[in-house]
Amino acid sequence: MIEGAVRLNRVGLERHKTWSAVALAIAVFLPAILWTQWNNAVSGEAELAPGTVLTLTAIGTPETGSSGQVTLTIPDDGGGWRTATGENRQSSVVLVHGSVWLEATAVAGVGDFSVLFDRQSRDLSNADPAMFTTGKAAYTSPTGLTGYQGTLTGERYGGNLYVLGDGKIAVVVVTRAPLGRLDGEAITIEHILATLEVS
Amino acid sequence: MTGQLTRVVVEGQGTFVRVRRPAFWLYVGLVGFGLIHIGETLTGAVRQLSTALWIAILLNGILAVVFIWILGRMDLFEREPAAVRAAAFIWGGLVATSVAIIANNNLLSLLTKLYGVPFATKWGPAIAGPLNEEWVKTLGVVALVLIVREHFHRSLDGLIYGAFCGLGFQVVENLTYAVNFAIANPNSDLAGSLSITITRILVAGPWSHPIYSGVAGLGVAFAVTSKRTPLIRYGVAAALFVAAWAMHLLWNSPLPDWLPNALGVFAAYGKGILILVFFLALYRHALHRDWRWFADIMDGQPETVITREEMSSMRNLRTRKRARNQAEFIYGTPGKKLVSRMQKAQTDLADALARAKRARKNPETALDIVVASMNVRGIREEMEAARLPGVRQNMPSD
Repeated sequence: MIEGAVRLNRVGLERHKTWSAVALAIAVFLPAILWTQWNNAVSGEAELAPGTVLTLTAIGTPETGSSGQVTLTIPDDGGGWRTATGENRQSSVVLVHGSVWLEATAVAGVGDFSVLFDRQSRDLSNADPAMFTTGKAAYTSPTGLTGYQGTLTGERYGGNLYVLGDGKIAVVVVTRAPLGRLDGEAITIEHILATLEVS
Repeated sequence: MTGQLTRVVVEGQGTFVRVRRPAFWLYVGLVGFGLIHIGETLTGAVRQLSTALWIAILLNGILAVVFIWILGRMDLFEREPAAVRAAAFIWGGLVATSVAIIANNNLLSLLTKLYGVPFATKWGPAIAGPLNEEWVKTLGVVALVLIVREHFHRSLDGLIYGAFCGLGFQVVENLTYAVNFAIANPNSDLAGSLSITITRILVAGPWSHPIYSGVAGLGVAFAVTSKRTPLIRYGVAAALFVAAWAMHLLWNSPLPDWLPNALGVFAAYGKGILILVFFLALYRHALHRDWRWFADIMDGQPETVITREEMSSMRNLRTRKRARNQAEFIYGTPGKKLVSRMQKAQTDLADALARAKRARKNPETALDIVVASMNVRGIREEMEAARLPGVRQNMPSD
């Protein structure tokens, strides 16, 4: 049997051992605190000039083996678009215009745009249970991309979901704004959708 | 002097629970934090993905079982307590992953803001992964030192605990990847989950987190068990931490642009083999030190307990296997099993002798030594009874 005598502090723990536990706790959270604070300290928005072309690269999952690119352009008459730089990825970009939030994601290896629309709709509802998609309908963009469009309705936010593409490459566009604020921005969003191209 | 003095029966608390140690309660709190954080990710997935997630759990479960078996075989001279190995696994799976997810996401976002999407896409995983993940996993071994220092006897102990931290991390990381890829797949949850799980197990499985964390853990255990100067002890620990970080960096770093795509898989395996060879070299060195310890502690034991040939055969897995194979020629069919039992009994005796030495007990009277010696002698008698007529000890190699 292993036994020994230890000296305890007021709360019944071994004396002189608390500092090492406190140091360990600080060390464990050190990277999370450091990067979170630094990330918050750096500005995360950048103004996008009209005419800026954004290229998104989609790499399909290993079993599909496909890849492609999606481009979208900030309309020439569409000033005031900003991007959340920290949120952007190789395959997705987040744009903000006034109270409108727009996320475009390039997807490769798509088998069926209708299935992709349904899956996106499900994921949006899972991320925000109050959000649901209605009015799924076929949609063709001015650039000839085909797919589906639906309306997003939530507790405080509403918007649209578009799944458009060509062949195995698709672009998923989610627009969101506080309820009642999206209508005024509809034209601006249509202008962005009119620039979408897939290659 | 203030403070209450209390007698603590450590064994009565099990091999890991130490209610008087502040670090133990910190461990409990951090596991709770990890449980909530990882639970949040996986609970939604259980509801949403069901089959896709369960298949990923099954495949990663198999991966874990294989690694647990390998790590058990690597630990030749002392099997670490199951509760402590489980604690290391849980740290890696819940605490390290939770903290690493927060740290990685923020660092990747920061890199994107500072250097743009192309740089963050190419170098983000190579920078964020090793920096944050190796740090938190290694702290798992440090936490174990603070809670159960008594289970760290030699450097190899740290390698085993570190590898278990890494294994826990790898399994849960694979599951989070499976969930994310299931959701991101444009066609099917199952296809997304399966493709990433199989890729991660086949391509990264053999040289992933258990290897890196094993190296870092080796350093931590060296720092707390070696009798060298503090400069050497902490210097070696720091060097091995940097080595773990460098191995992870090498694995996560992008392949050069000029490399043809067709060679990508070979290059990835090349990196993996390099990592594995380095790890095995360190393991071999640590194992040699363990064998030296075994030889020292068993020094002076009579031939009825351990013969010179047996001592030499205990050196590593290969020599032990050779001894077992040879036993068939000397003792017939039961020979292999008898020698296997003898090898286990001899390591148990070495353990008992080491415990008595640490507790400054008389080895002649310590109960566990007496029992272990009797066990060895009993097996020796069985071996002698099974010896085939006319066969000398060293057949057939001489």
